[in-house]
Parts: sequence; C-alpha cells; structure tokens
Amino acid sequence: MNFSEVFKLSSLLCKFSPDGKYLASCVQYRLVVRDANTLQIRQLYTCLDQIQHIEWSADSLFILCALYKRGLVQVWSLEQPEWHCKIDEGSAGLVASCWSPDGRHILNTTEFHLRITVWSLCTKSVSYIKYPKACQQGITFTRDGRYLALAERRDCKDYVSILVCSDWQLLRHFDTDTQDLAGIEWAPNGCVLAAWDSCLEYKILLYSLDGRLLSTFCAYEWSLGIKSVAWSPSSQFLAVGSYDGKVRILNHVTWKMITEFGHPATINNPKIVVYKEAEKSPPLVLGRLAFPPPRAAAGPLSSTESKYEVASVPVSLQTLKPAPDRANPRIGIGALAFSPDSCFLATRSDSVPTAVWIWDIQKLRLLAALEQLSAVRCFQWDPRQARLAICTGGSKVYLWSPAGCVSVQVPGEGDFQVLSLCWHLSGDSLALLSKDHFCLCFLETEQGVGTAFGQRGDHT
Amino acid sequence: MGDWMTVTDPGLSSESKYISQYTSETKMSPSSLYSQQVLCSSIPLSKNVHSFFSAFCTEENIEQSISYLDQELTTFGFPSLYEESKGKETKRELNIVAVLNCMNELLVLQRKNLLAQENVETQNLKLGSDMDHLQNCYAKLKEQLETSRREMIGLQERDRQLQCKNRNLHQLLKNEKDEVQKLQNIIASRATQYNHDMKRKEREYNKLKERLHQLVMNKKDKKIAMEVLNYVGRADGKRGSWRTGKTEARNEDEMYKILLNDYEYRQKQILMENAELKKVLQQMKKEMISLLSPQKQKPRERADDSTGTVISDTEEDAGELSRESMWDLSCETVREQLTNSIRKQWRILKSHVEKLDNQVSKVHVEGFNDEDVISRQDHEQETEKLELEIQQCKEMIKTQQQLLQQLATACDDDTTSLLRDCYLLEEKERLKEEWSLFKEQKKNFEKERRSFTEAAIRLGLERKAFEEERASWLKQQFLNMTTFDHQNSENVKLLSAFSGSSDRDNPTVHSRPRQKKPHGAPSGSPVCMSKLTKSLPASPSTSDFCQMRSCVSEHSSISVLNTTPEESKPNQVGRECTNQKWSVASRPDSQEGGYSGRSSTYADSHVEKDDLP
Repeated sequence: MNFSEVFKLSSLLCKFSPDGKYLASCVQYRLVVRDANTLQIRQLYTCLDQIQHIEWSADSLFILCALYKRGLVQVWSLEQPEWHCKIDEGSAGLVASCWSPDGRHILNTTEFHLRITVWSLCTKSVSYIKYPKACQQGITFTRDGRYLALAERRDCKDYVSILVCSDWQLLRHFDTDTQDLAGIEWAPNGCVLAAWDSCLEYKILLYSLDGRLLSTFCAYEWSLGIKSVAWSPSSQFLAVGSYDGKVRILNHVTWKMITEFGHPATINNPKIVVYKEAEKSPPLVLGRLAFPPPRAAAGPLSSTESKYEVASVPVSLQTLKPAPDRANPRIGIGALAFSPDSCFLATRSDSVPTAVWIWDIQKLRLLAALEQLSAVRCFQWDPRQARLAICTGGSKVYLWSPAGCVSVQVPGEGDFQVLSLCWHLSGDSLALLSKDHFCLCFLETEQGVGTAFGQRGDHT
Repeated sequence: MGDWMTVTDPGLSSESKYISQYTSETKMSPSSLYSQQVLCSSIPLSKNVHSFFSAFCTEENIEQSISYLDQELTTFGFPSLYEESKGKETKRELNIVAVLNCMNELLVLQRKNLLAQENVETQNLKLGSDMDHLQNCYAKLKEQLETSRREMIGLQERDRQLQCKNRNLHQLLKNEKDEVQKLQNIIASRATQYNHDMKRKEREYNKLKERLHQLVMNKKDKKIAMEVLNYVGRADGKRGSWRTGKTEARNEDEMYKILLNDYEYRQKQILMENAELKKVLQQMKKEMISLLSPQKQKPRERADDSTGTVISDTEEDAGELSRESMWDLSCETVREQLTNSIRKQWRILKSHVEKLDNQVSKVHVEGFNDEDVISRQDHEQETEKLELEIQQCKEMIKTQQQLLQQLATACDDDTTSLLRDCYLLEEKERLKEEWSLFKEQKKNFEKERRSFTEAAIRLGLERKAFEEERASWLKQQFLNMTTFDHQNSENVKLLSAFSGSSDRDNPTVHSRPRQKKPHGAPSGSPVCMSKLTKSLPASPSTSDFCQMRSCVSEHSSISVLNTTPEESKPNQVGRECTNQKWSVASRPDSQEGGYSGRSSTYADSHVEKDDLP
C-alpha cells in the first residue's frame, strides 16, 4: 500500500472524474484538476469566490463549481480551458446545483425551493420546474440517465413528477400516499421508484416507471420510522434502515420483507467474526528519542499503532444512550451500503457508532462486525470488489474484505485525520480527505493485496 | 371377698354388682394388689368358716337355714339339697352328696368369677391406659386444631387483605386505563389540530412563496442569466428536437418499451428458474420413486391398505408424469397432479422416515437403558469390591506397620536388656517373666476382645435387621402419605447431598455397618498390641476412628435437624395433622440414631480402656 504526498484541500471537495482519469480538488476559490495516476496538475481554474460544491459531468468533460453564497455556478471545460460559463441565479439565490445525466444541463435549485431552473449548455433554452419539495432526497435520476423523478409539494400534498431528461417533458405526475415525503430513489434498473415518508411514520412506497403503485410496506406504527434506504446494485433488494435499529430487506418480486437484521449490542453467535480494533503504543527506542520531539511523535494518535483482534464471543459493543429530549436522536440505522456484487451489506447503527456490521446477503445473516476505537465517520465499498473502506476521523484507514481486516496508518507529518474517503473507479486507489488536506492511497495489485489480507486472515 | 361375705343380703345377684364395684375401685391399682387380695381371700375363708356360718346359721335354725339355702339354690337351678322324698309327710332328709356337689359347684363358680374379674380388671387397666393415650392424643389434636384454626384465620386475614389490595390495584388499573384513553384522545385531538395548523401554515407559506416567486422572477432580473463563451454540442451529437405531440407519444413508447424490457427480462429469469426447479423436482421425484420402490412390497405385505393404494396411485402418476412432454406443459395443467403426487410421496417418505426414527430411537433408548442399568449395577459392585479391597489393604498395611514397630521395639528391648545384662541377670530374668506374663495377659485380652467383637457383630446384625424393618415400615408409612411425596423427595435429596459431602461418610444407613466393623472384626488386636508395646507413635487408626465417630454422631444429629424443619412447616391445614403423626413416628428413631452413634462411641472408649494394661 502506497500513499501519495499530501495536497491541500478545502471543504472536503475532492472528486474523481466518472471515467477515472482525473481528480478534481478545491482549495478555497481554486479548482485543481490532476491526473488520477500521476497526480500531476492538468488544469487549474480560478473561481470568483470560495467553492462550496463541485460536480463532474457524466462524460467527464465539464466540472461545475457552485458558489452558493453568491448564487453562482461556474462551469469549466477540461478539453477547452479557455471555455467558461457562469450562471447567476441573482436574487433568487441558490441552494443546490447538479448536472443532468447528459452532462449538458444544469439543475439549480433556488432558495426556499421556489423552483428548479434547468440551464442548457447547448441552447439558450431555460426550463423551470415549479414546486420542488424541500426534502432529504428530492431529485433522483435513473442510472441510464433517461428519467428524472422529482418530489413535489402542492396544496399540502406530496407528488412525484417523472420527467424525460432528453427534453424535460413531463411523463408522469402522481400523488403519493405520504404525510411528508422524505425521499425518493430509483432502482438501479430504472423501473421502480422507492418513495418513503418522513421519520414520523414508517412507510415506503414503490412505484413503477409508469406511475403505478406496486406496493406499500409498513413495518410498524406509532414510532420513528425510516432513516436510510439503499437499493442493491442488482435491483433485487431494497434495504430499509429504521429508527428501531433494524434493517429490513424487501425483495423485488413480491415487495415483501425477506428478513430483518437487528443490531444487538451483544453478539453471541460464535459464527460471527468480531474484529476489534486494539491500540497499542510502540515500544520506545531510546536511541530515537530526540530532545525536541519530532512533530510526528508529538501527536498522540500517530504514535500509537492499532490493529485488529478477533474478539471471542460473546462480545458486547459500546452503545450510546440517546438523549430523549433532543431532536434527531442518535439511534437507528444511519448508513447502509450494498457491495457492488450485492453480496454484502454494510450498516452502521447510530446507537453503536463505533461498529460497522457486515451482513451476508446470500445467507441473510450477520457475517462480521468491526468495532473501532472511535465513531465511524464514513464507509464506502470498492466499486469493483467486496472490499469496504472505513474511516473514523483518526489517522488510519481501515479495510475489510471477506478474507480479513487491516488498519493502515496514513503516513506523513502531523496528524492526518481521515474524515472522508472516496474510491477510484478501478478500485486501485482511494482518496483520503482530511479537513484541509488530501492524499491518495494506492492499493497493491491483486497478488499483493492477497498476501496482505492473507496475513490478516491468519487471525480469523 | 370379705366384704361380700359380710353382706346381709345374701342375694347371689348382688355378687356381680359387687365385683363390678370392686373392680372399679381397684381400677387404678396394679394387678399385683389384686392377686394379693385373691390370695388373702382364700385363706380367711377357711379360717372364719365357723364364725362366719354361726352368724348365719345357729344350732337352732339349722333346719331353716338349710331349707332357705335349698330354696335359694333351687331357684338358681342347683339340685335340691334334700333327698327325693318318697312321701309328702316324710320329712325330707338332707342329701350330703348334693350339698357337697353344690358347694363344689359354687366354689368352681366362684373361681370362674374371680378369673373373669381378673380379666376384666386387666382389660380395664388396658382401657384406662388407652384412654389416657387417647386423651393425650385428643389434647394434642385439639392443640393442632387450634393452631391450624389460628393459621386459617391468619390466612383468611391475609387473603382478605390481598383481595383488598387487588381491588385497589384493579381500581388503579382502571384509572390508568382511563388516563391512557384520555391521553390518547388528547393526542388524537392534538394531532388533528397539529395537522390542521400545519396545513394552514403550509398554505400561508405557499402563498408567500408564490408572492416571492412573482416578486423575484417577474422582475426581469437581469442578474439571472448565463454567460457562456459558446454553446457546446450535445453529448449524443444530435440536435435538440422540438416539443410536439409526437415527442410525447415517443416518450410514452420508450417508457413502455423500457418497462416491457424489464418485465421480459424478469420473465425470462423466472422461466429459467422455474425450469431449473422443475428439473430438480423431477430428479427428486425419480430418486424418491427409486428409493421407495424396494420398500413398496413390505407395506403391501403388511396389508397396509392406505399406503398401498397411495403408492399405486403415485406409480400411475409417475408413469404419466415421467413423460417429458408433461414437463413442458404450462404449470396450471400439471401443477395439481404434480403437487398431489409429490405430496403423497412425501407423505410416504415422511411416515417411513418417522417409522425409522421411532425404531432407531426405541432401539437407542432400550439399549441405553440396558447399558445404563448394567453399568450402574456393575459400578456398584465394582465399587463395593474395590472398597473391600482397600479396606483389606489398609488393614494389611496397619498390621505390617505394627509388626515393624514391634520388631523395632523388640530389638530395642533386647539391646537394653543386653546392657542391663551387665549389671543384673536376675533383673533380666524378671523382665522375661514379666514379658511372658504380659504376653499371656495380651492373649487373654485378645480373647476377651474377640468375644466382645463377636457380641458387637451380633448386636450390629440385630440392629441392622431392626433398622431394615424400621426402614420398610417407614417406607410404608411414607408411601401411605401420598401428600408427602415431594417432601420425602426433599428429604431424600438432603440425605443424598449430605452423603455426597465427603466420600468417607456414606449415607447414615451405609455407615452404620462400618461403625461396627472397626470395633468388631479386625483392628482390635493391632490397637491393643500397640498399647502393649508402648510404642509412642500411636497408630493413626485410633484417632481417625474417633474423628469418624464424632462425625457420625454429628451427622445423626444433623439428620434430626433435617427432619425438624419439615415438621415445623405449617403449609396446609389439612396436611399438618398427618405431618405431626409422621413426626411422632420419625422422631424417636432419629434420636435413637443419635444415641446409637454416641453409645457406640462410649462402648469403643470403654473397650480401649480395657485394653490398657
């Protein structure tokens, strides 16, 4: 495992291009585009103000930089560095900006969700979409880029509009039987739309592309409901994480629940491998102790090593007690992610913030649990294989695969606190983001990785 | 008797009355007193005959008295005292023979009466003691009744209190329910109100939004604009198309195409899956048929009609269905047949497997039981054997130790004697004499000891027999008291638990024969020998012995303790009565057990003292 040198970064804005060739990162008002392999700077763009959001177009030709404070969007072309485009939303303000899947339109949401403006880069035409709903996930495109589903709110009722992306024509418009629609998401095959209600009610509705209601699922009533939703890449399963600390898996044939994954605080089943991160300070070498301690040694986190130990069951995980008088209680399943082959599901229960649970979808049971020393910030699956990268805000990055677990110290001066991470398309490298730096982690080729995991696998 | 003689009224009828009076008077007196009286009565009778009769009959009134007696006797059915008179005028002669006969008969009667009296008195005594006993029992039972009544009252009181509490709780529950209902109503009303408010607010919000929209958007805001260097081409290279009705239709078409594709894809998948499942089903069916066919004969032979017919059915079905063409038919036509046949076969298979399971389990259970029983017996025998062996070995070791010590001491004696020999030969002689004397004494003691041990063994055997008897009796008693079963089992458990506390102390019943053994059969001689030879390191057996003894006595006391809490347990009113009875039965024996332990220790110490020269 190799690490690149550390580059500057602001606002955690660092993204690989969809074709995997480039890496865009922001430093204040500058946008830096590097080669993803060599990390040489390919282009450098300067925006008018601090960049708050960047997004690659689907064809990797353009990058949009949103400057929400100024109500501005600046678009840059990679092929033509001199080409530029600036969209000013004026007094209407700007809260969100995104590309349409064709990479030639930009959807800007104005303040107060008054409307969504669709700007075209090809023609002068401007389209407006009225009544968008201000919710968790109100816009979703199908994977093939043909359709856009949009959550709307009119006259105290929730609606979903399905638009054709090619000419922004309305294809379907239907009301949803929800109190307060919280989110919508297309299945990866683009034929089923999942819509779920706000956390006050457990309700998930499944609509066909043509607007028919396929099924409704409600696990329970009178309690806080859905917190997170994820489709499996094969569109076969829909995982619904809820505030009761359970993940329910629905199937795509009957849309009934197949199974229920509870997240108990104690794991008793000896079949489940529980990896426990254990910290140990390295043995002090007298010769290395210099009088002014080097900066690397000064940080307490960097001086300690950590490794995984296979804990013997029963294991009790650290749980947080939620404060009952606070809003947004730290309970329920906050994050869900299917592996690219749909074989594994990684979940995080917010009441057990230090643990990541990995479920075997083929056997429908818990496969492994990882208990970290600190709360899990973010995890993401390798887009190519069943390999999960986890970061906890410390100076380490953790990888899980069915063969085992590793924790890797990020080298470098000072403390590199990994707050977020994102995989390269090929799964060969991983961008690690800290508050104001980022670096790339290059994973070895298959054989090297195999041996690395093999060593760890001895513990299992 | 004398009293009776002085009675002026000479009615024989009064005799029995007097006797009864007499016996009632002598009720409390022991029988010895009675016999004395009887003895007394016979002697003064002969002495005072003359004076006695003179009171009744004088020279003058012989005739009258004779006639009177005759009259009296005849009325009682005795033959007349007079000879049969030939004529009426002739004066009747006194028949001496008859008089004597009468007297004899009277005497016999008298003796009989005395005997009867004695019997009655003893019976009376018995009855009296019985009465006492019953009175005691009655008193006890009365006490019990009283206590149980008190308990009952207490329980009733408690019951009443609990009922009161229950009522209160019910009331509370009802209140709570009401409260919940009220709260639910409140929640519902609040929810509706909230929704209403929300809607109102949202409407306002929408109005404001609309207004804002108008204000912001319709102002021809010059700022809202896009600056582009030049428009870029579309990603697909096509030109943008006009929006017409056609495009709408095309969009619809495309959408349906996508949906259709998806459904087709899914159908294909399902078909594939179905085909695979069918294949599996067919294979399973074939295998089932092949598996079941060899067993088909058997159930038929057993005249198991139902299964036989089922099998024939399935065979036919199988014959039909095994044709490949059937599998290609759509499910609807084949489904019923298929499912039916599979179900039937499955049922057969299931019953078969269950049968097999049953057999296996039966065999297993039987085998296990047999093994278990055998092993247990074997185990017990083996342990007994081993224990015996250990005992023997221990004894052997002891004797050997003693012999060794003896040898050593003898050797010592020899050396000392040799040393003394230098000074006094006479003394040596004397010592030798003493030695022989000691030996003789020792022999005597040994003899005595043997006799003692024999006696002890006999005693032990007797005791054992007695205890067995008692145990059986107790068992019977226990069995009779069915209500007691679980308590009994507890008792047994206690016993067994305490038996398991140390391996040396077996259950009391087992330990008893062992108690006898030490001062019985073997170790008497070594003990006394050790004393005789004055070897200071006293053999450890004795001290161990004492300890064990004390242990045993402790245990016996424990057993007493074990029984007592159960007696004092006033569980139920009805049960307690029987409980008490049982305790009465059991207590003496437990005490006896304690005593027996102690007495044996005394005996043992006594024997040891005797051993000392």
